[in-house]
Amino acid sequence: MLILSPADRAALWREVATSKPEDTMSMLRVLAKEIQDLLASDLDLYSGWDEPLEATLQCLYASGLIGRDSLRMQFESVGGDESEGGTSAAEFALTLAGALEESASFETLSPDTRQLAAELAAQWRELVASVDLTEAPPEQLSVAQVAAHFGVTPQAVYKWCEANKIEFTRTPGGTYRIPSAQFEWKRGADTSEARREVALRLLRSLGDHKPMSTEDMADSMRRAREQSAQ
Amino acid sequence: MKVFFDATVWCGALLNPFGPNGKLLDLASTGGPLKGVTSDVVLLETYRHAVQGDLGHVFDPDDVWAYVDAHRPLLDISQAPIGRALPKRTDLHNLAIGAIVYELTGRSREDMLKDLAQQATLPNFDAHDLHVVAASYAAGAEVLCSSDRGFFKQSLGALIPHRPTDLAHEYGLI
Repeated sequence: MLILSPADRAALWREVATSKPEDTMSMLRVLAKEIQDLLASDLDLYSGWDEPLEATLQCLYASGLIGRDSLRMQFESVGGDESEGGTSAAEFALTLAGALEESASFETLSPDTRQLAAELAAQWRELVASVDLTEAPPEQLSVAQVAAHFGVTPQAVYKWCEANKIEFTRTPGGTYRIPSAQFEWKRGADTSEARREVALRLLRSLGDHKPMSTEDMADSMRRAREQSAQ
Repeated sequence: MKVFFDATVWCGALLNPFGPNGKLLDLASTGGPLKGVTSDVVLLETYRHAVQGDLGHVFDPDDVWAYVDAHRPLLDISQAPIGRALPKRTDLHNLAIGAIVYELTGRSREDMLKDLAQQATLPNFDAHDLHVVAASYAAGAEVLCSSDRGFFKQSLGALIPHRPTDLAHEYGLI
């Protein structure tokens, strides 16, 4: 297995994002293979992941998120030194999960694609949780552990740190360490599966319904309230 | 930070569970940095709007309750201190919002009453929304999360209104 250099990875990602439609599928397959090679040893991503990986990239291509620079840069930095902005395999997997969830929220995508994106996101989160998480948290957590547990992206956790929304320290090497005592670790953990399932159910029931804007929805609710009050 | 979610957030989440509203409710249902609260009146309003088709889609009642139930940790809140029959209380009509909440709940924080002179009074405030403000204060929320533009036009005392997209952005959820 040959792992590409960060510069070659960036070039490959760019090539996929800008590929001609007739080349897209084959390019996505090449990128999927490279991601699998990159994450395989840390996340035990050896068998059964060819299809989910290709499907992941197809969803990101459909939503346009494959063209997002931050995603490419994460891919570029997998395995690098954390003090120099390197990304762990778990963090990259959770970033993919976050991008898939975002794709699932795109009302312009077909219901099937949104459904698939949400299911794949759950699969990535489960993968990281199975490798990286224990039921009782260690005293100090990594960014990936916090992101996996609370169902967010590593970028969200970094944002919490920078905005002092959570306590954290950094090791001399630059690694973030987050004390677990500040969290109610088990709160809501028993309903996380139910939250995922009902979200998928709602997505299915909505089908290709195009929701009104949030402001229009709030106005419609207000009108309905006023009518019922009369 | 403790955030009160009103019915616009719940309804927005039902319409797009992976959008900003859904992501906020999901995060607030965990033991993470965002503590969420809501009230029974808000949930009943959500249910009514969802199953009556006010949101442009008629939801299955089972799905609505399943969604609410999956966010159980948000529901650790006593009943809303008032219902929506408030406009009938004419004795409250010229008081500032903070004073009304104090009258109704008997619970307040000093800063809620501090800027009474700047606060809207009931004739200037949609009384049907007061149950949200009162429940937020009763639950000790610092932020009211809503898409209802009415909350952004008037002073709610120490309670700060935030739109779901802004709050989701602040927490890195979108």
